Amino acid sequence: MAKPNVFAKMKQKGTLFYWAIVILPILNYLVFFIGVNFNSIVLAFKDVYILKGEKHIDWVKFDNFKTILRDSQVLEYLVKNSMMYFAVTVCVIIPLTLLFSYYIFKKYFASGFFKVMIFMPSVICSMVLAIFYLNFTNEILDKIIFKPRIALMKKDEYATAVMIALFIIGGFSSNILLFLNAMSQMSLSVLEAARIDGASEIRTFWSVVLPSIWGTIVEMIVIAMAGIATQQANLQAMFGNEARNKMRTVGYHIFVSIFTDGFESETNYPYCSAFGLLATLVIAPCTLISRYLMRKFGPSEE
Amino acid sequence: MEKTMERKKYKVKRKISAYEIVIGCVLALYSFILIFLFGWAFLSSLRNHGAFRSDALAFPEGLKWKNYTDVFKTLKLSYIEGRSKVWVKLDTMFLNSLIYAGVGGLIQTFFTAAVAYCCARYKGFTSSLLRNVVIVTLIIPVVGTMPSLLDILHNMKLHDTWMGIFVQRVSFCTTYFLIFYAAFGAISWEYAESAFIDGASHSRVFFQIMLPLVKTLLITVFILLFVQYWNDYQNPWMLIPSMPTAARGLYHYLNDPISMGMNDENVPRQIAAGVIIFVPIFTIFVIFRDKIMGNLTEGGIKG
Amino acid sequence: MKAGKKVLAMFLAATSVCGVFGATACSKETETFDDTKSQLFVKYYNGGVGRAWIDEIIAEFEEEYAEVEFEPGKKGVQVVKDFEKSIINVNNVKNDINQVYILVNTVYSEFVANDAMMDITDVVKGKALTTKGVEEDVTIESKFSDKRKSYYNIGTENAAKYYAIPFFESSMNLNYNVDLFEDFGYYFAAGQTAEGMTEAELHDFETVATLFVQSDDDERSLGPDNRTGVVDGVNYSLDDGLPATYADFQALITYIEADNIPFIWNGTATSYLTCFANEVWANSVGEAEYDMAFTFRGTSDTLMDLDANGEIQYNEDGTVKMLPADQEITPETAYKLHAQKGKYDALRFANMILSSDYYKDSFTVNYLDAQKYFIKSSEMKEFEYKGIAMMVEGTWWNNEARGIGYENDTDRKSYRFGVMPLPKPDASQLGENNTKISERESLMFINNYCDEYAIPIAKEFMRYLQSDRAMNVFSRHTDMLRAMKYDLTDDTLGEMTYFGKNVYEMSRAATTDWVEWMPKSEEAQKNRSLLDYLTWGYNTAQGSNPFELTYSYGTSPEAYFTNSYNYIKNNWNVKSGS
Repeated sequence: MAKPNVFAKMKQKGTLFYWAIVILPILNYLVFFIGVNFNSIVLAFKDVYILKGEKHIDWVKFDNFKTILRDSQVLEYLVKNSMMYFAVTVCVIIPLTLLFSYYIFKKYFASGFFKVMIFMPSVICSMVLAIFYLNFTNEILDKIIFKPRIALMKKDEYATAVMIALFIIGGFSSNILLFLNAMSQMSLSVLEAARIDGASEIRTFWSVVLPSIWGTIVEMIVIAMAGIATQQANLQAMFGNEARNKMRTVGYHIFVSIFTDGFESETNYPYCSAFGLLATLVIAPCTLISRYLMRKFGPSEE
Repeated sequence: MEKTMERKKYKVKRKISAYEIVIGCVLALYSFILIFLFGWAFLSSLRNHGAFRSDALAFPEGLKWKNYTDVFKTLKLSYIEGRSKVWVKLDTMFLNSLIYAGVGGLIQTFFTAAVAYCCARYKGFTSSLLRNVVIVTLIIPVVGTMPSLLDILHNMKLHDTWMGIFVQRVSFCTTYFLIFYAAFGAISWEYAESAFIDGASHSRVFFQIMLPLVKTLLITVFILLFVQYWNDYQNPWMLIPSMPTAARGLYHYLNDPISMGMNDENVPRQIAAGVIIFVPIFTIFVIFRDKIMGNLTEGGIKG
Repeated sequence: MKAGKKVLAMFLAATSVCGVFGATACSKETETFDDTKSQLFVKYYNGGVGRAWIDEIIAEFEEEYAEVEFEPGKKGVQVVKDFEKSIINVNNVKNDINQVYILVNTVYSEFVANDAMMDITDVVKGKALTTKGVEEDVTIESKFSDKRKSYYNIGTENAAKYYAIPFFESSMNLNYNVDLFEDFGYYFAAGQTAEGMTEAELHDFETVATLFVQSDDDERSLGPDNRTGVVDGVNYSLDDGLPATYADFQALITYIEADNIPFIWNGTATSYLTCFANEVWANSVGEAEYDMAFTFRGTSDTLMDLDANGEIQYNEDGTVKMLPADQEITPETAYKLHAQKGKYDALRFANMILSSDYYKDSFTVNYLDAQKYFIKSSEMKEFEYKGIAMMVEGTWWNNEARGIGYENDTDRKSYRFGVMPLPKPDASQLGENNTKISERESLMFINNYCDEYAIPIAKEFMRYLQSDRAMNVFSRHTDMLRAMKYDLTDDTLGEMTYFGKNVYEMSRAATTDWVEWMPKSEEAQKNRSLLDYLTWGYNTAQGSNPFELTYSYGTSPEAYFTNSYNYIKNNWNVKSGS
């Protein structure tokens, strides 16, 4: 009796194909993520300082985390702002993008033109968009609304409104392509059937389109949730490293905290790493659970 | 001829819904804001700094392209190559951007799609692990990684090389993994099963059946990655210093115009530099927008 | 039609692409190094200090060393310049081609700890070169101040180890327009002071006007140093007529507002205002008291007696309640330094400025525009030809303003600006020295991974840069001073602007004390990240910039003080010494 050919079996099951595809990306991940970031993550439990020209690295267990949690007032601002931008994404940007996508998908009036306009902000480099926007805010908005001008970016309520507006303006670009693509995968016959049955546009959108692309919507929300701790919300572009705490997000705060005297100092890495890890420990389970729940209890095509 | 004309005469008028009106108005408002913003920015780029500061809303005093010619003449970066100091100008920076964004985007799009397909269609421990790894990786804000990355690249002799960039793009941990994962998960496996029955291999199914089914998504993701890498200045600065990209050139121009021969920081000229970087890619996008956004009646897999 | 549109679109795309290529002509320009010479790669942070000085020194160096053989078969040196406005990450130094670095915002200890800097003890212990082969009489080390010697010497007194040499000295100043002050008589007359006036009087033009000189011949008041003339070789006239106390300063603001604009600052980098607030703080408490922030140890005589809520308490006569002298400060209790009266004084001073009729775009104006307006506003219609009396800016501003503020060198030398010695909080402190802070760590070093052949050249170049002659070249071009001990020659002073000469006089005055912004004890070194000069001192939960936060939230100096003190106290997390 011939021995079973293991190689052939693997080939039949697709194991060879599977590993041929994933092996290089996994190696890449191990080298360029784990390898690069491992030390950074471990630093969360250490303290780095320099004495007499020598670097000292001590294990301090959870001291860095205690430092972060002790500064509860600042933490409150950071979390509040990060959640605010997340809420804007989920409650404003994603719904509006869906509505815009459907409009363009249906090829309504000037949809081709709107398609270009919506995508335009992402084509422009963020630093250029920030220059346009900052000068527009300082030279026009401030002068038109206030006489004499008040440096509105220095006043929280106005600055927040301006930042949210900028966030929204640039927020549709990438999402719209993904939603349009998802809509293009829908069965047109189902849409046609809905139209024949007399369903209104809104009804069709709600009952047919949304369930069809629910998977994509879930992933966009998951991506937004996963990005809570990394979202800088254009703060760097508009304020440099000098945004006051009340405006900051977690992602921005971690980014500027690596600097001392305008210089990226490794003595700050432990604090930033600890912050990042803390954020991950909170957000990761929330993200995974939310994803599971949305997929399980969300609308289905059936 | 007569029948065509009659058909045209009796063309059915489509009823305009409330949805179309409301959303159309919102889109029109959004477009107006963008046109006003970019239009104002472009007109400002035709002015001198003093005039701009005294009245930012005024129209330019004629079409003066001095800011643009200044940018073209002065925007350049240098690096040391062997026994020479090489000054790279804008056109080479554009070429570098095309390679960095284009090739890098292609590689990353392919591998993201491929790994997502494997995870979506070949269930198992590894696939679940990879999917969760992606989610966790997207969440972790890691800082201070550049020194480690540079060390690794130097040790592998990949620093300041295109290969070093392309090797890094063989990755799957991007936000688009989840999109591809959802897309491949939604495709009926019947296509694959039919192909297997006909004797196709797994790789053949992937390349000749599955990938074409997500063609528009591939193009979409590629475009998004292309734009992201086109506008990235920090990584090219650190990783390929002798191959400066347009975004890096722009960054240096905005922050250090004096070392490029300007004697001031001039807002209209900054805007002009931004417009110069923006126009080619925007033009390409406008021309190929239908290809980019896909023919929306194609790609249906049901029916 | 569709085909036509496509053709048009392709044409537009081709045009834009060709336009780029055409307009840029050649894609690369190459400057090949001179193979007959040895190359020295120099990286210099080309910021507000400018490059004219180093270009001149390099040109001289290359000329003088044209016949020197550093490598077999090669004669002379060609300096390859990397003069961008950027610093380098410490981890990139080892792979960087540059050999000599002249940078700002570079934390010395971190570069040493990461082996980025070469040991140049032999250079520092040696003598500077006036020209090739001609040494000075004194060592370079002797030009360091004692505090800088202690900071830069990583070794011991007997076995010193130096890895860098200080670059420039700068502070965040209240620069004033001398021409405007002279034209409008913004000087206090002899014997006049606003001390004792009520708030209402201080804001009343008619009342304050009587305090000021009415003609050029009128004698001026003594100023904050409370003396005038030259006594024992010390010139006490630099501050004559200038406001001596905060009350005087408020009176001056009221007086200026009638005809001109009292203040402008550079706006976008509001951290400069934090630096300035620290200057005011230091000037209020004096060098010894303020220096404790860099040692975390000592005994303080200027701590306020705060209540349990961190609020300021007052005596019956309205003065602030103080703790007895000699309050011990340790690393664990160093947060108490934030109860120094000087911090409260600084907040009051900031409030005075923000309550004035300052230039309203100050928070958003570009820094070069701010300089231009400070120089030229009296010639500009948009300012109704009003002058701007004072500007908060770093010492480099007058050189930086060559860009758009001044038309040319002649124009630049025709204006007169000065650095105002800051007033004292009240008359009880008159006569105390003017305390200034030397901030932003700027230094020069040699790459520890420098090519073998280039080491002697780099060291020779470093020695060349430290001569009095080279330092005079620096000052002549920049109106600033190197952070070393040296004198300016009459020739140099003759070529400097009024501002430059004023900076020199004020810096070298016996009535000026300097606080260097650097950790001066082990505990301070261990907690280096606490000593960020851009954000230190006024931290609250909302942020750390006293001017911006006062403006944004309308907080009173008292409320801000309490807020900040409590925040710092509750988050004081200092690592103790070894």
